[in-house]
Amino acid sequence: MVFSSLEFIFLFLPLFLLIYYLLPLRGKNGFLFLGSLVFYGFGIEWNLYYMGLIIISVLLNFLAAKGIEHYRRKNRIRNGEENAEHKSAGEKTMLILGLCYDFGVLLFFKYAGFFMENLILPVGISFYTFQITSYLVDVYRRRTRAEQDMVRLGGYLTMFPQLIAGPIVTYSEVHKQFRRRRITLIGCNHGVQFFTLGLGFKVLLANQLGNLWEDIQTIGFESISTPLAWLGIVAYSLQIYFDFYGYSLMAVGLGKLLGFRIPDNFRQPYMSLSMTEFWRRWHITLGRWFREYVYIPLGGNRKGKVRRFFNLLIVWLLTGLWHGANWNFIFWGLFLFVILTVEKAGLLKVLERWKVVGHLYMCILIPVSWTLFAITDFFQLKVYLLKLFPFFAGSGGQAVVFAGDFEKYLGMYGVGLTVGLVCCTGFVEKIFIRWRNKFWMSFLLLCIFGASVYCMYKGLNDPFLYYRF
Amino acid sequence: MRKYHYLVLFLVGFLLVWPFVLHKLYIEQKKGAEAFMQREAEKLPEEETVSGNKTVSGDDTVSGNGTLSGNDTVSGNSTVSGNEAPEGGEAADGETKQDAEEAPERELSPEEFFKDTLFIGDSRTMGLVEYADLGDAAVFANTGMNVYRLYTMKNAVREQEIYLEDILAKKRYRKIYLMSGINELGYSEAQTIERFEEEVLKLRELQPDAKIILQANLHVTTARSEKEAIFNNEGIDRINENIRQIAEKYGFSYIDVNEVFDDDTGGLRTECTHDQVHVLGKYYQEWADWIRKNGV
Repeated sequence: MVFSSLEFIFLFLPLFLLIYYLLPLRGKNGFLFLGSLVFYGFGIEWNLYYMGLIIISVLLNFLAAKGIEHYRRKNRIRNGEENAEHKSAGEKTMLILGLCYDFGVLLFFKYAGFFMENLILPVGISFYTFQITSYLVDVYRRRTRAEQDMVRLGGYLTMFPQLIAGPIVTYSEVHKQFRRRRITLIGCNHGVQFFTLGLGFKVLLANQLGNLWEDIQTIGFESISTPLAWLGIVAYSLQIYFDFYGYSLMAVGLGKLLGFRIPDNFRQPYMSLSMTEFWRRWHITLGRWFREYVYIPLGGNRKGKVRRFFNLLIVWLLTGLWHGANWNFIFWGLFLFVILTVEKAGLLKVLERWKVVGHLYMCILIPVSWTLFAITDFFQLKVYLLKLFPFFAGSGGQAVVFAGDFEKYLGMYGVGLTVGLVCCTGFVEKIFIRWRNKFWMSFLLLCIFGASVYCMYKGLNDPFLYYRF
Repeated sequence: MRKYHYLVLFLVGFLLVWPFVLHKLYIEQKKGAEAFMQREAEKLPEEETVSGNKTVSGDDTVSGNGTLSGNDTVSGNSTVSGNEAPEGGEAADGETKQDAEEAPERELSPEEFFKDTLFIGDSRTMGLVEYADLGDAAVFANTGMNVYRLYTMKNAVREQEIYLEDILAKKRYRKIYLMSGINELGYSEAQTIERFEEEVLKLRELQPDAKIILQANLHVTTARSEKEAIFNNEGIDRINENIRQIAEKYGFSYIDVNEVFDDDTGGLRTECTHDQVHVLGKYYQEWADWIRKNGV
């Protein structure tokens, strides 16, 4: 069940909120856990193994964290306070056991995809594995105390606003809200506003632009012209952004409705001047996770240039791998690593000095990096890249290209692309924040909500409303 | 109030559309369940339906058997206008005698072959005109075209007249190819056949000199077909069979390009398609070449 579905908005959400608001705090936490599992159940089509997997993950990490604290107490009694910073072998063992299980399960499902065709990744496992490991490591590092109530930990891990597609919330930033949170009308108002905006981005922009990418695949990469190839990958870039950004906004909004603060995940990444900056503004919580739990533990930039180079390589290989079980994602990660290294070596200064150069550079680099991300088949990837940069292509063996394809699809998707490009600039958010208490803004948001619901309503499989061929 | 009027507006709007959405969800749920039941019923062993009383599903099993053999359309063709001769272009019988002067020794170029030709169809025909060489053929096509909308829908092909009426009024065509049927699958079968027949006869009336060639609709992939309650290969085979019968009844030609793209399960070959419905751009030329080779 995704947020942008009628079932979620008109069945699950009202029913959930109705009961949730009536319960006292402790009941709220328990119901959040339960409701989120139901939500998850729809996402995995009631595959009970996958349901078991997430519950076991909560249970084991709950125990592992308690184990860490248990050994810490024992250690403290034996060695006294002066040695409190020292981590005992017991603490380390508990941490390692927990992490081995968490990453073991994740790796199993990710890597098995390399060998087994039909294995479906349990929905959200990449996200919840990262969340639960952040909890365990934070307990180990004494940034937070181990949770004593399994229901609260379960509520944290499975919390449905962020279960399936992030943001990757750390336990240390929300655990207080499990003990005390206020649900106010103003908070709910903001929540509904964010949810509406996110829904609009997802349904009205991402879904429409996604059709262009679908159309291009239907034609086949061999048969598209260079302008259409660029149009297509720009559409894909906008689609992936508004899809993910919209989803994150909806998560923030739902969080507010439940009384939680869920961190922002995007800050107008397409306005960046460099890839370095882009990855500080794109999927912020993922970048944060890799920085906190991989890059810095490896030594970050404190151990000399060579070591830093190596640490970055590790981070980007893992980032690539995290995004999908396919070689092209590793290739994509390596590509980003090379770009970031070149930028750090000096290019960054140029890009930040002359902003126009930076924007132009990103105008090429963003679509190209998404090409590597989007096309999982290497042969097809080569075909597409040669379409984007035809001067590298030899002559001969070219399939028929429909000469008017660019005009045709520009005519069909021009409006959506223009709106999408405008919405990338942060313009919409500025207007929204500034005038969000005005009546006309509420009216506009209501129109966005209405239009989104209408699209979802029409999008359902109805042969009379929806001619497809 | 000022601080949360969106919340109030939202709730009012939400409550207003709620019953409609719930109704819709309920209907979808019911339809899904029915389609599922029907599918389960079709999966029952065939002997049961044969020996058992012939219920509604009897009709289905007939066409179902047809798809199992995969190439029933080929055997069907021999009874029609004989345009279909897979071994070579030696099409010869009553229908083609009318234009015997063009029984080709050498293969005609697209310009020659599709001279004064009109193509009418849905998105598949659009692909054909965009990605295959049809010479200077006129085309009237749009995504979602069907026989109910022939005269109301606009042409999506550029540099052509917008409405079919104008295209037909422009000149006298030598040949008219029509491929439609898949978008009609949502309608009742009887109604569609009746309308199809009407429209073809109207075409003949408006273009009395033109040779009308009815094209069988392309299959979708078997994987897709199994997921679809309506737009599946059984439905396509059924409508194709109806079209074949119309062709037979009035002496039109009937051609079935599925032999070029079908796999051995009788569905569209998966490597030829991305969306499981349309062939990839590079394959449309094969379709056009096939039409020329078969000389219709």
